[in-house]
Amino acid sequence: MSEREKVISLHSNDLSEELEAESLELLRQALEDLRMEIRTSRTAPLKRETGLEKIDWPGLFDTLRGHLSQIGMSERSLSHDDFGFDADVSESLTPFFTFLYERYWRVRFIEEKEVPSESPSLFVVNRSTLLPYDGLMLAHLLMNQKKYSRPIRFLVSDSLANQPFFQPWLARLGGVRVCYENVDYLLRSGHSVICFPEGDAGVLSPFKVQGELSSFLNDGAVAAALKNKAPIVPVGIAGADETYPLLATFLGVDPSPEIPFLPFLSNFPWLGILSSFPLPVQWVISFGAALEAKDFNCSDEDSVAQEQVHRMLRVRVEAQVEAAAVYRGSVESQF
Amino acid sequence: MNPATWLGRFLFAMLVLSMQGEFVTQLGCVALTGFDTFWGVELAQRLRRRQGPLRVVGIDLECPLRGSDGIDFFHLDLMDEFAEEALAEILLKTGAEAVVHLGYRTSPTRFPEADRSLNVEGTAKVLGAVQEAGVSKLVVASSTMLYGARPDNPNFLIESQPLRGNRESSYLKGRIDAEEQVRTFASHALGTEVTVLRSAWAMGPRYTDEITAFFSREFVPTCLGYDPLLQFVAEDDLLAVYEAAVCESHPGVFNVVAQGVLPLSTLLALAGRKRCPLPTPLFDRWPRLSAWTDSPDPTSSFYDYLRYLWVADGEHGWSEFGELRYTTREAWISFVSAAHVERYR
Repeated sequence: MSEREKVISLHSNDLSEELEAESLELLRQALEDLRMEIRTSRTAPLKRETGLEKIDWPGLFDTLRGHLSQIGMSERSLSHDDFGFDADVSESLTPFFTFLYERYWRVRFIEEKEVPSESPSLFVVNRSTLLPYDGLMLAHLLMNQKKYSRPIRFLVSDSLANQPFFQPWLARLGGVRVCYENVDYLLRSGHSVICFPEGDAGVLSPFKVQGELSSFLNDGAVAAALKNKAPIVPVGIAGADETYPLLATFLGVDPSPEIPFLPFLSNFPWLGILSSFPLPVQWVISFGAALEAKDFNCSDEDSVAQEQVHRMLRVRVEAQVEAAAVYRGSVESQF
Repeated sequence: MNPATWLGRFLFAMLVLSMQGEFVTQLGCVALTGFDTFWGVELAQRLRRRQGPLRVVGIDLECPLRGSDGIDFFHLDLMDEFAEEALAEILLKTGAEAVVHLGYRTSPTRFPEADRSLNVEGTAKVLGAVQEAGVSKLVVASSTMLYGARPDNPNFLIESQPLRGNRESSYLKGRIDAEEQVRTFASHALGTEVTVLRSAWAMGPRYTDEITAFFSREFVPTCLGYDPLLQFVAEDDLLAVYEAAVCESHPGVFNVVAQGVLPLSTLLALAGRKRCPLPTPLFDRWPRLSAWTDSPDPTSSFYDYLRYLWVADGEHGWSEFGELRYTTREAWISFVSAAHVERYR
């Protein structure tokens, strides 16, 4: 047997796996030693001069380079689904959302009845924050706090869905433009959907009349739920409207054809970029009992019956908002 | 000889033929308009080489330099006044049973009238000739671009969505008008089966057009703040679908798109190309940026396709033609790797 054959047989026998692992470990150790040696030889003269402990610049550089290459990799992410939702991005942002949820807005939730997760359902929520934090927080609450077993998407109104810089991020975080076809597709493929049937009117109501819902738009979400016989869960959020207290809107001023209004908040636009930060107020989310499709007994094509369903849902959501507000008041008085 | 033996032999022959899959397709001759294009040549060769080969008639202005062996070539200008009669004569003379209409512009040129005359009137002439010659099958190549990239599109466009195109692009308007003609023809013509195949942007190792040239640039201009989802179709898949549409019976309108979608940023990162995000109002002042360089259409009419969603739902097409072999990602990678190798040729 020649040298070469011996080497080959060494590599091919059963021992090779163990050997491989061992030699890999050795190799890694040796590389680590070499790296340390190079670093010490590089930092040694400095140490001699000052006699002080120096910051490990090459180490810092290594970590920084690692982070930078990670940023590049996120673009190469392969976890996009058909709606552009990126599981990697949302997973890496979960700690941030947990911070927002637990520390910043101190979200509490109450529920009338267990939220059903056997079938994909539609959550009908009052719209209250300018940026879709309410959708994100509700999705976070369901996914991480309540261990809801279905994938969840939230709907975004037209005015925000195609804004530059918002469009890619909303898609990656699970936002979907509101329209009948999208909701239908999502429910059919087993996703639960969070919808805000008030539309932009929800955030446009001035500060003093908050808590009162504006009329529900016929945006197709409820119609799609009726078509798919999905349970509809009324949800009320109290407190979220104070994250961006709206002082006035200038409906006549159109910065671009896609932005229908220019909001004036307590801190926008005077504080510049800082004004995009929401205020740290407490939120309370209240889940109502789910309404089954058979409760409505109306088809998805009957527009008059749908109007009635909208009105009925509005009453339910209003009741939930009120319940949440009452709970919030009681919680606040504890402090 | 015993008649029973004959019957037995006949049945056996039928069994063998049907097992080979040849008995089903008894087409004799297929005519291709727009033969001197990538799709024309490749499809002709595919049809000629398949089991149970077909006679292929290529019709175009010029005979392609490569890939025309074994194919009957006829010279015809679809923009000509008497093209309809001439085409009908060719179809009758060759006894063509199916016509594949590929003779249209895949992107606008600097002569919008000529584009319109080829896309709209050319299609009308082909339809007239098909009716006159009594051809039993017509396959029309179309594009999912005709749905238009609009901010109010749903995430998945199905075949019944209206074709909205772009308000300012005369080229897309012409293509949509041509498809309207095909639709009215399909609803009125009794003897002809019409298949319309709306394909996404095709990507592959060999195919080149203005779109692939655009994505081959070192710096790819994109819209600042937008990152839409795009989908493609692999050139092999598209050819296979054309072939199936010719050889089998699939009347109707179908989206031909690969599975999966990818954001533009991911696509460019995969390709190793540098993104060059520019604010959208800038585009119309800088026409050389677009893939439709010479056309009088505004540059933004192209950039809408890199700005808003125009992803088509391929469900209907997949159920009809079977799942496509390559996903969007694979199609894109095959294009990118071929473009990479191109440098070393």
